[in-house]
Amino acid sequence: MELNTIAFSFLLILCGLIGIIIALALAYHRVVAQFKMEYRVPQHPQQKSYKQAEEVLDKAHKEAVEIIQQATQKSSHLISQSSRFAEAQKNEIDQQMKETGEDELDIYVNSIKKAQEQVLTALGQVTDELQRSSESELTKFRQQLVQSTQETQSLFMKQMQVELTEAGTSVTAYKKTLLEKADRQMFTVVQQVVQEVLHKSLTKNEHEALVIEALEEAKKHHVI
Amino acid sequence: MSSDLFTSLTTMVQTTDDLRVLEREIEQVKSSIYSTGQNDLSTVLKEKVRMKVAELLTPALSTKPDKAIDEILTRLKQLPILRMRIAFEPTRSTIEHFSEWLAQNTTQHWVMELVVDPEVGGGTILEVNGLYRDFSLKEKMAVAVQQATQRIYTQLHV
Repeated sequence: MELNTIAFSFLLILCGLIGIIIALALAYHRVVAQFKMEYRVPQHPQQKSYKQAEEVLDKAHKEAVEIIQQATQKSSHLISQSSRFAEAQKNEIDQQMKETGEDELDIYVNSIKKAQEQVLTALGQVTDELQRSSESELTKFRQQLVQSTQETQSLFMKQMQVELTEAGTSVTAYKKTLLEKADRQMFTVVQQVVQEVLHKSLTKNEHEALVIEALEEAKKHHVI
Repeated sequence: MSSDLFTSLTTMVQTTDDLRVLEREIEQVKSSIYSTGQNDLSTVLKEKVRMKVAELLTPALSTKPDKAIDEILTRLKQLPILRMRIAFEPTRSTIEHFSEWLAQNTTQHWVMELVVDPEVGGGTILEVNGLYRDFSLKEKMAVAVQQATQRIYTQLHV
């Protein structure tokens, strides 16, 4: 950052010198042009005047060349100085940067080491905590699972009991219905057998005997 | 009225039909006690009631005939009715057979009301003073079948 600022300053100075040189060149060119304009119009001046003028011009030219050379030298000198300065600055900066870099590197390395240790410590703590937490969670989960299983089992058993009872009731009811139906059917068969077979096959005396038998039974039961 | 008279009269009553006939005869006698002409007592006794009934009633009508008649009618109405449902059409001899058995084996004079019902099969279903007892063959068979069925159910663990 600092190096860039210095280089920029030198560049500005260099640009300033070049500007001065250009300004001088332009000034010289203007003086020559003006002179030519002033002394070309009269077509018949004296030879002396011309010579003087040429001398003035040569002098001016020489001065201008000299000024330019001096300026060039100065600028070259400045540039070389600036280059040397820049080189020195650069070396110094490099040295500083190197030193600074080494320090920073040491600090960085130390920081890294420290951070690594902290991270390792923290990781160890986290691992322990995670292990404890996992064991606790696992135990809790196991307990919940056991409890849930027992509850489900109990519920299932109750439901099974209810369903078994209901099924038993249904079976009993169905059995009762079937038995009643069977009894009715048998009663009908008995009725038919009695009416169609016995009644017709019995003689009058047998009928009378059966009635007397029934009366004896009625007497035994104190009906008559 | 003597007890012999009533006993003698009831020997003529074996069924409810017999009882109705006898009651009708006695009612006619009763109504003729104070009548004259064709419906006087002697005419009714000779022509409108059975000879045996007339013979039994005549001695009782010598004094206070109306009272004697009322007493007979009252006692006839008090005779116990034995309703018997039987499977066959009874003959007179059948009725006498039953009546004879009842007279010999019970202490009361029963008036039988016989109802023919073939479904009874055999034996009889009795109804006495509102009490109903089934001594029919049908009932006996039904009980026997039911017991057999129960035994089968038990063996089948139904």
